[in-house]
Amino acid sequence: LISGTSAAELPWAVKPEDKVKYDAIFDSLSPVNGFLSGDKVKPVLLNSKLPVDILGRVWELSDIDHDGMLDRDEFAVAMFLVYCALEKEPVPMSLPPALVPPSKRKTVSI
Amino acid sequence: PSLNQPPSVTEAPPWRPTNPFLNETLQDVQPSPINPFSAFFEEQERRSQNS
Repeated sequence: LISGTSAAELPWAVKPEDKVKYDAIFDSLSPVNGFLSGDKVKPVLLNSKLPVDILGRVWELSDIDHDGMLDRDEFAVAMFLVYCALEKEPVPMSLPPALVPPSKRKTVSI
Repeated sequence: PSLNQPPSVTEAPPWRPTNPFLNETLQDVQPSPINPFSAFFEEQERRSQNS
């Protein structure tokens, strides 16, 4: 195993207690095979009343594997970013390493 | 590619086609009864009333 202080060891920005909340929302949207389609996620994110271009960026950052679906980790990232935007935090142009779900982190860094 | 191109709906979108927010008309979107942000908005209202 590779040791050291690589990005892979950063704690996830999504706190465990928030993840529980986001997972509950995720499950209430009846995911198919562990994934939510954009059609299902979109109305929920629109409830945030954020501009579509912000939500589009949120989607772009959170759909990490770009399959047009969000799994529960990606959904948590999306929720995290929406809450950031609601708190008037700028949505980043690219996903900060700390926000990449541990499950999506690759051992090979950029 | 030029940076001066005007934004266009028909030309290459800035985002991937998998992005459900590409279609900005949003005509067929039904509002979701699930609103995880309602608590946030209530909190915000409370804050603005207190200040």
